[in-house]
Amino acid sequence: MLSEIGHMIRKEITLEWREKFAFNGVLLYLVSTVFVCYLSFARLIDVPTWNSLFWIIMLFAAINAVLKSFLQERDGRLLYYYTLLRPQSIINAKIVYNAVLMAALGMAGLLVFVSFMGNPIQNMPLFMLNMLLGVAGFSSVLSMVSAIASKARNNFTLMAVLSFPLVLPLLLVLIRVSAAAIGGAGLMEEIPNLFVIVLLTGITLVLSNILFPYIWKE
Amino acid sequence: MIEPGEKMMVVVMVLSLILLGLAGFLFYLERRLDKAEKKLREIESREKDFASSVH
Amino acid sequence: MEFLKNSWWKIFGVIILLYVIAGGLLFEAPQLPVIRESVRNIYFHVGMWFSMMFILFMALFFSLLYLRYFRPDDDLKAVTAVKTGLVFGTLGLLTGMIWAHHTWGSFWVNDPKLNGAAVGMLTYLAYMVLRGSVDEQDKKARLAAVYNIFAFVLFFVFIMILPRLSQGSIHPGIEGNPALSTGDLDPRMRKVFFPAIAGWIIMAWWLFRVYFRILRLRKNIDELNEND
Repeated sequence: MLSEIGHMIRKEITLEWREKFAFNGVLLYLVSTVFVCYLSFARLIDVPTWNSLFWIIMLFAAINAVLKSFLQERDGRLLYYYTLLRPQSIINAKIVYNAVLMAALGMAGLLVFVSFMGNPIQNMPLFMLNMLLGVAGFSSVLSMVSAIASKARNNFTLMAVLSFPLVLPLLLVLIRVSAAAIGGAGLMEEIPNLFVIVLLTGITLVLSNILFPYIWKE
Repeated sequence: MIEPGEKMMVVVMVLSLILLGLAGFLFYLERRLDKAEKKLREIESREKDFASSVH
Repeated sequence: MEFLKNSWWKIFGVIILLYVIAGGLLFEAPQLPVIRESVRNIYFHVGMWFSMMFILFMALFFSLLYLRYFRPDDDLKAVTAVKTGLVFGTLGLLTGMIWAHHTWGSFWVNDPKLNGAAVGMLTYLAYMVLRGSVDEQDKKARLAAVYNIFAFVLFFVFIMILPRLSQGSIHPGIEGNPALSTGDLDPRMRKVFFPAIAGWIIMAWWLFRVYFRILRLRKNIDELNEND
Protein backbone atom coordinates (compact mmCIF):
# COMPACT_ATOMS: atom_id res chain seq x y z
CA MET A 1 0.00 0.00 0.00
CA LEU A 2 2.61 2.54 1.09
CA SER A 3 4.93 1.70 -1.77
CA GLU A 4 2.01 1.98 -4.20
CA ILE A 5 1.27 5.44 -2.86
CA GLY A 6 4.94 6.31 -3.18
CA HIS A 7 4.98 5.23 -6.82
CA MET A 8 1.85 7.20 -7.58
CA ILE A 9 3.27 10.35 -5.99
CA ARG A 10 6.51 10.00 -7.92
CA LYS A 11 4.52 9.60 -11.13
CA GLU A 12 2.50 12.72 -10.32
CA ILE A 13 5.64 14.75 -9.72
CA THR A 14 7.18 13.58 -13.01
CA LEU A 15 4.02 14.48 -14.86
CA GLU A 16 3.80 17.84 -13.16
CA TRP A 17 7.39 18.59 -14.06
CA ARG A 18 6.71 17.67 -17.65
CA GLU A 19 3.64 19.88 -17.78
CA LYS A 20 5.01 22.83 -15.84
CA PHE A 21 2.69 25.24 -17.57
CA ALA A 22 -0.24 24.02 -15.49
CA PHE A 23 1.44 24.83 -12.20
CA ASN A 24 2.78 28.09 -13.58
CA GLY A 25 -0.73 28.90 -14.72
CA VAL A 26 -2.11 28.54 -11.22
CA LEU A 27 0.78 30.57 -9.85
CA LEU A 28 0.11 33.33 -12.35
CA TYR A 29 -3.58 33.17 -11.47
CA LEU A 30 -2.62 33.70 -7.83
CA VAL A 31 -0.34 36.65 -8.57
CA SER A 32 -2.89 38.28 -10.88
CA THR A 33 -5.70 37.95 -8.36
CA VAL A 34 -3.57 39.48 -5.62
CA PHE A 35 -2.58 42.29 -7.96
CA VAL A 36 -6.19 42.95 -8.95
CA CYS A 37 -7.12 43.14 -5.28
CA TYR A 38 -4.17 45.45 -4.62
CA LEU A 39 -5.24 47.80 -7.41
CA SER A 40 -8.93 47.77 -6.58
CA PHE A 41 -8.46 48.46 -2.88
CA ALA A 42 -5.81 51.07 -3.69
CA ARG A 43 -4.89 51.62 -0.04
CA LEU A 44 -3.91 49.67 3.03
CA ILE A 45 -6.83 47.45 3.98
CA ASP A 46 -7.85 46.57 7.52
CA VAL A 47 -6.83 43.29 9.08
CA PRO A 48 -10.12 41.31 8.88
CA THR A 49 -10.38 42.15 5.18
CA TRP A 50 -6.75 41.17 4.67
CA ASN A 51 -7.43 37.85 6.33
CA SER A 52 -10.65 36.97 4.46
CA LEU A 53 -9.21 38.11 1.15
CA PHE A 54 -6.14 35.93 1.62
CA TRP A 55 -8.22 32.83 2.30
CA ILE A 56 -10.68 33.43 -0.50
CA ILE A 57 -7.84 33.80 -2.98
CA MET A 58 -6.22 30.67 -1.57
CA LEU A 59 -9.46 28.74 -1.93
CA PHE A 60 -9.89 29.66 -5.58
CA ALA A 61 -6.26 28.90 -6.35
CA ALA A 62 -6.63 25.55 -4.60
CA ILE A 63 -9.72 24.65 -6.61
CA ASN A 64 -7.88 25.58 -9.79
CA ALA A 65 -4.86 23.54 -8.84
CA VAL A 66 -6.81 20.42 -7.87
CA LEU A 67 -9.26 20.63 -10.77
CA LYS A 68 -6.84 19.12 -13.21
CA SER A 69 -5.74 16.32 -10.91
CA PHE A 70 -8.18 13.80 -12.30
CA LEU A 71 -8.91 15.48 -15.61
CA GLN A 72 -5.45 14.89 -16.99
CA GLU A 73 -5.85 11.16 -16.49
CA ARG A 74 -6.89 10.10 -19.94
CA ASP A 75 -9.15 7.11 -20.15
CA GLY A 76 -6.58 4.64 -21.38
CA ARG A 77 -4.26 5.39 -18.53
CA LEU A 78 -7.13 5.12 -16.05
CA LEU A 79 -7.84 1.61 -17.18
CA TYR A 80 -4.19 0.74 -16.75
CA TYR A 81 -4.13 1.98 -13.13
CA TYR A 82 -7.34 0.21 -12.46
CA THR A 83 -5.75 -3.12 -13.14
CA LEU A 84 -2.54 -2.29 -11.31
CA LEU A 85 -3.35 -0.40 -8.14
CA ARG A 86 -5.79 -0.45 -5.29
CA PRO A 87 -8.16 2.54 -5.58
CA GLN A 88 -7.25 3.60 -2.05
CA SER A 89 -3.62 4.04 -3.06
CA ILE A 90 -4.69 6.28 -5.90
CA ILE A 91 -6.83 8.63 -3.84
CA ASN A 92 -4.31 8.77 -1.00
CA ALA A 93 -1.51 9.55 -3.41
CA LYS A 94 -3.59 12.29 -5.00
CA ILE A 95 -4.39 13.78 -1.60
CA VAL A 96 -0.76 13.78 -0.45
CA TYR A 97 0.45 15.15 -3.76
CA ASN A 98 -2.19 17.88 -3.90
CA ALA A 99 -1.40 18.84 -0.31
CA VAL A 100 2.27 19.29 -1.17
CA LEU A 101 1.35 21.24 -4.31
CA MET A 102 -1.00 23.49 -2.37
CA ALA A 103 1.51 24.02 0.40
CA ALA A 104 3.98 25.30 -2.19
CA LEU A 105 1.23 27.41 -3.70
CA GLY A 106 0.27 28.72 -0.27
CA MET A 107 3.82 29.76 0.56
CA ALA A 108 4.16 31.51 -2.77
CA GLY A 109 0.76 33.09 -2.30
CA LEU A 110 1.63 34.33 1.16
CA LEU A 111 4.86 35.84 -0.14
CA VAL A 112 3.08 37.69 -2.94
CA PHE A 113 0.24 38.73 -0.69
CA VAL A 114 2.55 40.09 2.01
CA SER A 115 4.62 42.03 -0.46
CA PHE A 116 1.60 43.71 -2.06
CA MET A 117 -0.80 44.05 0.83
CA GLY A 118 1.56 44.42 3.80
CA ASN A 119 2.27 42.03 6.64
CA PRO A 120 0.05 42.34 9.71
CA ILE A 121 0.87 38.83 11.03
CA GLN A 122 2.21 38.83 14.58
CA ASN A 123 2.47 35.11 15.24
CA MET A 124 4.01 33.76 12.04
CA PRO A 125 4.65 30.15 13.23
CA LEU A 126 1.00 29.71 14.21
CA PHE A 127 -0.12 31.22 10.90
CA MET A 128 2.12 28.81 9.01
CA LEU A 129 0.99 25.79 11.02
CA ASN A 130 -2.63 26.75 10.43
CA MET A 131 -2.00 27.16 6.73
CA LEU A 132 -0.29 23.77 6.42
CA LEU A 133 -3.08 21.99 8.29
CA GLY A 134 -5.63 23.84 6.22
CA VAL A 135 -3.89 22.86 3.02
CA ALA A 136 -4.09 19.20 4.05
CA GLY A 137 -7.81 19.58 4.71
CA PHE A 138 -8.46 21.42 1.45
CA SER A 139 -6.52 18.77 -0.42
CA SER A 140 -8.52 15.87 1.00
CA VAL A 141 -11.91 17.46 0.31
CA LEU A 142 -11.00 18.87 -3.10
CA SER A 143 -9.29 15.71 -4.38
CA MET A 144 -12.43 13.73 -3.67
CA VAL A 145 -14.71 16.35 -5.26
CA SER A 146 -12.39 16.56 -8.24
CA ALA A 147 -12.69 12.80 -8.69
CA ILE A 148 -16.49 13.14 -8.71
CA ALA A 149 -16.45 16.14 -11.04
CA SER A 150 -14.07 14.48 -13.48
CA LYS A 151 -16.70 11.81 -14.12
CA ALA A 152 -19.34 14.41 -14.95
CA ARG A 153 -19.67 17.08 -17.57
CA ASN A 154 -19.17 20.82 -17.12
CA ASN A 155 -16.21 20.75 -14.85
CA PHE A 156 -15.07 24.00 -13.31
CA THR A 157 -18.56 25.18 -12.36
CA LEU A 158 -19.48 21.76 -11.05
CA MET A 159 -16.25 21.51 -9.08
CA ALA A 160 -16.85 24.92 -7.48
CA VAL A 161 -20.52 24.23 -6.75
CA LEU A 162 -19.81 20.82 -5.24
CA SER A 163 -16.85 21.88 -3.16
CA PHE A 164 -18.00 25.19 -1.65
CA PRO A 165 -20.47 23.79 0.85
CA LEU A 166 -18.03 21.03 1.80
CA VAL A 167 -15.02 23.31 2.19
CA LEU A 168 -16.88 26.09 3.99
CA PRO A 169 -16.73 24.56 7.50
CA LEU A 170 -12.99 24.14 7.16
CA LEU A 171 -12.60 27.61 5.71
CA LEU A 172 -14.46 29.25 8.60
CA VAL A 173 -12.25 27.55 11.21
CA LEU A 174 -9.11 28.42 9.25
CA ILE A 175 -10.12 32.07 9.02
CA ARG A 176 -10.72 32.15 12.77
CA VAL A 177 -7.35 30.67 13.65
CA SER A 178 -5.55 32.82 11.16
CA ALA A 179 -7.26 35.93 12.54
CA ALA A 180 -6.02 34.91 15.97
CA ALA A 181 -2.51 34.36 14.61
CA ILE A 182 -2.54 37.79 13.03
CA GLY A 183 -3.64 39.26 16.35
CA GLY A 184 -0.70 37.56 18.04
CA ALA A 185 -2.47 34.76 19.91
CA GLY A 186 -0.38 31.95 21.35
CA LEU A 187 -0.40 28.39 20.09
CA MET A 188 -2.04 27.05 23.26
CA GLU A 189 -5.17 29.21 22.91
CA GLU A 190 -5.82 27.92 19.42
CA ILE A 191 -5.29 24.19 20.12
CA PRO A 192 -9.08 23.43 20.14
CA ASN A 193 -9.59 25.05 16.76
CA LEU A 194 -6.55 23.34 15.29
CA PHE A 195 -7.93 20.09 16.63
CA VAL A 196 -11.19 20.76 14.76
CA ILE A 197 -9.23 21.22 11.53
CA VAL A 198 -7.42 17.93 12.10
CA LEU A 199 -10.73 16.23 12.94
CA LEU A 200 -12.40 17.46 9.75
CA THR A 201 -9.40 16.37 7.69
CA GLY A 202 -9.42 12.96 9.38
CA ILE A 203 -13.12 12.39 8.71
CA THR A 204 -12.65 13.42 5.10
CA LEU A 205 -9.72 11.03 4.71
CA VAL A 206 -11.69 8.10 6.11
CA LEU A 207 -14.68 8.88 3.89
CA SER A 208 -12.46 9.25 0.83
CA ASN A 209 -10.91 5.85 1.42
CA ILE A 210 -14.30 4.21 1.80
CA LEU A 211 -16.10 5.99 -1.03
CA PHE A 212 -13.46 6.47 -3.70
CA PRO A 213 -13.62 2.87 -4.99
CA TYR A 214 -17.26 3.51 -5.98
CA ILE A 215 -16.28 6.49 -8.11
CA TRP A 216 -13.29 4.77 -9.55
CA LYS A 217 -14.70 1.63 -11.06
CA GLU A 218 -16.56 1.90 -14.32
CA MET B 1 -52.06 39.87 23.49
CA ILE B 2 -54.36 38.22 21.03
CA GLU B 3 -57.68 37.09 22.40
CA PRO B 4 -58.57 33.61 21.22
CA GLY B 5 -61.40 35.37 19.48
CA GLU B 6 -62.71 35.73 16.01
CA LYS B 7 -59.54 36.85 14.29
CA MET B 8 -57.54 33.77 15.29
CA MET B 9 -60.50 31.52 14.55
CA VAL B 10 -60.43 32.76 10.95
CA VAL B 11 -56.69 32.02 10.69
CA VAL B 12 -57.22 28.55 12.15
CA MET B 13 -60.00 27.90 9.65
CA VAL B 14 -57.92 29.05 6.70
CA LEU B 15 -54.88 26.97 7.69
CA SER B 16 -57.05 23.92 8.35
CA LEU B 17 -58.69 24.28 4.95
CA ILE B 18 -55.27 24.50 3.29
CA LEU B 19 -54.18 21.35 5.12
CA LEU B 20 -57.37 19.49 4.21
CA GLY B 21 -57.02 20.63 0.63
CA LEU B 22 -53.47 19.30 0.51
CA ALA B 23 -54.54 16.00 2.06
CA GLY B 24 -57.41 15.70 -0.42
CA PHE B 25 -55.07 16.41 -3.29
CA LEU B 26 -52.65 13.74 -2.08
CA PHE B 27 -55.46 11.17 -1.79
CA TYR B 28 -56.59 12.06 -5.30
CA LEU B 29 -53.04 11.66 -6.60
CA GLU B 30 -52.73 8.28 -4.89
CA ARG B 31 -55.97 7.08 -6.48
CA ARG B 32 -54.76 8.10 -9.91
CA LEU B 33 -51.38 6.49 -9.24
CA ASP B 34 -53.09 3.23 -8.26
CA LYS B 35 -54.93 3.18 -11.55
CA ALA B 36 -51.92 4.17 -13.62
CA GLU B 37 -49.68 1.58 -11.98
CA LYS B 38 -52.27 -1.11 -12.57
CA LYS B 39 -52.56 -0.13 -16.22
CA LEU B 40 -48.79 -0.13 -16.61
CA ARG B 41 -48.56 -3.64 -15.16
CA GLU B 42 -51.22 -4.81 -17.60
CA ILE B 43 -49.38 -3.36 -20.56
CA GLU B 44 -46.12 -4.91 -19.41
CA SER B 45 -47.63 -8.37 -18.97
CA ARG B 46 -49.36 -8.09 -22.34
CA GLU B 47 -46.06 -7.24 -24.01
CA LYS B 48 -44.42 -10.18 -22.27
CA ASP B 49 -47.17 -12.50 -23.54
CA PHE B 50 -46.79 -11.07 -27.00
CA ALA B 51 -43.04 -11.56 -26.94
CA SER B 52 -43.33 -15.16 -25.76
CA SER B 53 -46.00 -15.99 -28.39
CA VAL B 54 -43.76 -14.70 -31.17
CA HIS B 55 -40.84 -16.89 -30.16
CA MET C 1 -61.97 -1.54 4.02
CA GLU C 2 -58.89 -1.54 1.85
CA PHE C 3 -58.68 2.24 2.01
CA LEU C 4 -58.61 2.46 5.80
CA LYS C 5 -56.10 -0.35 6.05
CA ASN C 6 -53.62 1.47 3.82
CA SER C 7 -54.39 5.03 4.79
CA TRP C 8 -55.14 5.09 8.51
CA TRP C 9 -51.80 6.71 9.33
CA LYS C 10 -52.36 9.47 6.78
CA ILE C 11 -55.72 10.33 8.30
CA PHE C 12 -54.12 10.12 11.74
CA GLY C 13 -51.42 12.58 10.64
CA VAL C 14 -53.95 15.03 9.20
CA ILE C 15 -56.01 14.92 12.41
CA ILE C 16 -52.87 15.56 14.49
CA LEU C 17 -51.98 18.55 12.34
CA LEU C 18 -55.52 19.93 12.56
CA TYR C 19 -55.15 19.70 16.34
CA VAL C 20 -51.74 21.39 16.11
CA ILE C 21 -53.10 24.27 14.02
CA ALA C 22 -56.03 24.85 16.34
CA GLY C 23 -54.19 24.21 19.61
CA GLY C 24 -51.06 26.00 18.51
CA LEU C 25 -52.89 29.18 17.67
CA LEU C 26 -55.62 29.17 20.32
CA PHE C 27 -54.19 27.53 23.46
CA GLU C 28 -52.54 29.61 26.11
CA ALA C 29 -48.85 30.21 25.42
CA PRO C 30 -46.15 31.58 27.75
CA GLN C 31 -45.60 35.32 27.46
CA LEU C 32 -41.92 35.93 26.79
CA PRO C 33 -40.41 39.36 26.22
CA VAL C 34 -39.90 40.35 22.55
CA ILE C 35 -41.02 36.94 21.26
CA ARG C 36 -44.51 37.23 22.74
CA GLU C 37 -47.20 35.52 20.68
CA SER C 38 -44.78 34.62 17.90
CA VAL C 39 -43.60 31.75 20.12
CA ARG C 40 -46.40 29.76 18.48
CA ASN C 41 -44.26 29.59 15.37
CA ILE C 42 -42.29 26.84 17.17
CA TYR C 43 -44.93 24.30 16.16
CA PHE C 44 -44.37 25.09 12.51
CA HIS C 45 -40.75 26.23 12.14
CA VAL C 46 -39.20 23.49 14.30
CA GLY C 47 -41.55 20.91 12.77
CA MET C 48 -40.19 21.80 9.32
CA TRP C 49 -36.57 21.31 10.43
CA PHE C 50 -37.30 18.03 12.17
CA SER C 51 -39.05 16.71 9.06
CA MET C 52 -36.18 17.91 6.89
CA MET C 53 -33.58 16.14 9.03
CA PHE C 54 -35.74 13.01 9.10
CA ILE C 55 -36.11 12.95 5.34
CA LEU C 56 -32.43 13.72 4.74
CA PHE C 57 -31.46 10.83 7.02
CA MET C 58 -33.65 8.70 4.77
CA ALA C 59 -31.82 10.03 1.72
CA LEU C 60 -28.53 9.02 3.33
CA PHE C 61 -29.92 5.59 4.13
CA PHE C 62 -31.08 5.01 0.55
CA SER C 63 -27.74 6.21 -0.84
CA LEU C 64 -25.97 3.67 1.39
CA LEU C 65 -28.40 0.99 0.22
CA TYR C 66 -27.71 1.92 -3.39
CA LEU C 67 -23.96 1.53 -2.99
CA ARG C 68 -24.58 -1.83 -1.32
CA TYR C 69 -26.98 -3.43 -3.82
CA PHE C 70 -27.03 -1.08 -6.87
CA ARG C 71 -30.82 -1.18 -7.18
CA PRO C 72 -32.10 1.73 -9.35
CA ASP C 73 -35.14 2.15 -7.09
CA ASP C 74 -32.94 3.02 -4.11
CA ASP C 75 -31.35 5.80 -6.11
CA LEU C 76 -34.76 7.11 -7.12
CA LYS C 77 -35.78 7.03 -3.45
CA ALA C 78 -32.66 8.98 -2.49
CA VAL C 79 -33.37 11.75 -5.04
CA THR C 80 -37.00 11.90 -4.02
CA ALA C 81 -35.97 12.21 -0.38
CA VAL C 82 -33.52 14.99 -1.17
CA LYS C 83 -36.14 16.89 -3.17
CA THR C 84 -38.73 16.51 -0.41
CA GLY C 85 -36.07 17.56 2.10
CA LEU C 86 -35.38 20.68 0.05
CA VAL C 87 -39.08 21.56 0.12
CA PHE C 88 -39.20 21.25 3.90
CA GLY C 89 -35.88 23.07 4.21
CA THR C 90 -37.23 25.98 2.19
CA LEU C 91 -40.37 26.09 4.32
CA GLY C 92 -38.18 25.96 7.44
CA LEU C 93 -36.10 28.87 6.16
CA LEU C 94 -39.21 30.89 5.29
CA THR C 95 -40.92 30.35 8.65
CA GLY C 96 -37.59 31.10 10.33
CA MET C 97 -37.08 34.30 8.36
CA ILE C 98 -40.53 35.61 9.19
CA TRP C 99 -39.85 34.82 12.82
CA ALA C 100 -36.42 36.44 12.70
CA HIS C 101 -37.96 39.54 11.17
CA HIS C 102 -40.31 39.86 14.13
CA THR C 103 -37.89 39.12 16.95
CA TRP C 104 -34.41 40.03 15.72
CA GLY C 105 -35.47 42.81 13.39
CA SER C 106 -34.15 41.46 10.09
CA PHE C 107 -34.81 38.49 7.87
CA TRP C 108 -31.30 37.14 8.16
CA VAL C 109 -28.77 37.55 10.93
CA ASN C 110 -25.18 36.37 10.86
CA ASP C 111 -25.58 33.49 13.24
CA PRO C 112 -23.84 30.10 13.17
CA LYS C 113 -27.09 28.14 13.19
CA LEU C 114 -28.60 30.10 10.33
CA ASN C 115 -25.39 29.83 8.35
CA GLY C 116 -25.25 26.10 9.03
CA ALA C 117 -28.76 25.75 7.65
CA ALA C 118 -27.83 27.77 4.57
CA VAL C 119 -24.79 25.57 3.93
CA GLY C 120 -26.98 22.49 4.22
CA MET C 121 -29.37 23.83 1.60
CA LEU C 122 -26.45 24.70 -0.69
CA THR C 123 -25.09 21.18 -0.31
CA TYR C 124 -28.31 19.57 -1.44
CA LEU C 125 -28.76 22.03 -4.29
CA ALA C 126 -25.24 21.06 -5.37
CA TYR C 127 -26.35 17.42 -5.21
CA MET C 128 -29.13 18.23 -7.68
CA VAL C 129 -26.69 20.08 -9.96
CA LEU C 130 -24.38 17.05 -9.90
CA ARG C 131 -27.22 14.78 -10.98
CA GLY C 132 -28.03 17.17 -13.78
CA SER C 133 -24.54 17.03 -15.22
CA VAL C 134 -24.14 13.27 -15.63
CA ASP C 135 -25.92 11.50 -18.48
CA GLU C 136 -25.51 7.78 -17.91
CA GLN C 137 -28.09 6.48 -15.48
CA ASP C 138 -25.98 4.22 -13.27
CA LYS C 139 -22.95 6.48 -13.21
CA LYS C 140 -25.23 9.33 -12.17
CA ALA C 141 -26.68 7.21 -9.39
CA ARG C 142 -23.25 6.12 -8.17
CA LEU C 143 -21.70 9.60 -8.12
CA ALA C 144 -24.79 11.10 -6.51
CA ALA C 145 -24.81 8.45 -3.79
CA VAL C 146 -21.13 9.04 -3.04
CA TYR C 147 -21.61 12.80 -2.89
CA ASN C 148 -24.68 12.46 -0.70
CA ILE C 149 -22.86 10.34 1.89
CA PHE C 150 -19.77 12.54 1.78
CA ALA C 151 -21.78 15.75 2.06
CA PHE C 152 -24.15 14.53 4.75
CA VAL C 153 -21.37 13.47 7.10
CA LEU C 154 -19.45 16.73 6.65
CA PHE C 155 -22.65 18.76 7.01
CA PHE C 156 -23.53 16.93 10.20
CA VAL C 157 -20.09 17.45 11.69
CA PHE C 158 -20.34 21.08 10.65
CA ILE C 159 -23.59 21.81 12.46
CA MET C 160 -22.26 19.93 15.49
CA ILE C 161 -19.06 21.92 15.85
CA LEU C 162 -19.94 25.29 14.37
CA PRO C 163 -21.97 26.72 17.27
CA ARG C 164 -19.23 25.64 19.71
CA LEU C 165 -16.67 27.60 17.75
CA SER C 166 -18.44 30.92 17.78
CA GLN C 167 -19.16 33.06 20.78
CA GLY C 168 -22.58 31.52 21.06
CA SER C 169 -25.67 31.75 19.01
CA ILE C 170 -28.75 33.88 19.50
CA HIS C 171 -30.78 31.05 18.01
CA PRO C 172 -32.16 28.87 20.84
CA GLY C 173 -31.65 25.14 21.09
CA ILE C 174 -29.09 22.59 22.18
CA GLU C 175 -25.62 22.78 20.75
CA GLY C 176 -25.35 21.48 17.26
CA ASN C 177 -29.02 20.83 16.74
CA PRO C 178 -31.03 23.48 14.97
CA ALA C 179 -34.03 22.78 17.16
CA LEU C 180 -35.22 23.22 20.70
CA SER C 181 -34.17 20.99 23.53
CA THR C 182 -37.09 19.82 25.62
CA GLY C 183 -35.62 21.52 28.69
CA ASP C 184 -36.35 25.09 27.62
CA LEU C 185 -39.85 24.31 26.47
CA ASP C 186 -42.69 25.55 28.61
CA PRO C 187 -44.79 22.60 29.89
CA ARG C 188 -47.89 24.28 28.45
CA MET C 189 -46.38 24.06 24.98
CA ARG C 190 -45.35 20.42 25.11
CA LYS C 191 -48.86 19.09 24.56
CA VAL C 192 -48.86 20.77 21.16
CA PHE C 193 -45.14 20.63 20.38
CA PHE C 194 -44.65 16.85 20.43
CA PRO C 195 -47.77 16.09 18.34
CA ALA C 196 -46.63 18.81 15.94
CA ILE C 197 -43.28 17.08 15.36
CA ALA C 198 -45.00 13.72 14.84
CA GLY C 199 -47.60 15.23 12.52
CA TRP C 200 -45.10 17.01 10.30
CA ILE C 201 -42.90 13.92 10.05
CA ILE C 202 -45.94 11.82 9.01
CA MET C 203 -46.76 14.50 6.44
CA ALA C 204 -43.18 14.46 5.12
CA TRP C 205 -43.25 10.67 4.81
CA TRP C 206 -46.57 10.80 2.95
CA LEU C 207 -45.34 13.47 0.53
CA PHE C 208 -42.20 11.43 -0.04
CA ARG C 209 -44.24 8.31 -0.86
CA VAL C 210 -46.53 10.04 -3.34
CA TYR C 211 -43.63 11.87 -4.96
CA PHE C 212 -41.65 8.65 -5.25
CA ARG C 213 -44.55 6.85 -6.91
CA ILE C 214 -44.97 9.69 -9.42
CA LEU C 215 -41.27 9.66 -10.32
CA ARG C 216 -41.17 5.87 -10.56
CA LEU C 217 -44.22 5.83 -12.80
CA ARG C 218 -42.72 8.47 -15.03
CA LYS C 219 -39.49 6.48 -15.28
CA ASN C 220 -41.31 3.23 -16.05
CA ILE C 221 -43.34 4.87 -18.79
CA ASP C 222 -40.18 6.32 -20.31
CA GLU C 223 -38.57 2.90 -20.32
CA LEU C 224 -41.67 1.38 -21.90
CA ASN C 225 -41.61 4.00 -24.67
CA GLU C 226 -37.93 3.39 -25.35
CA ASN C 227 -38.51 -0.34 -25.77
CA ASP C 228 -41.16 0.17 -28.44
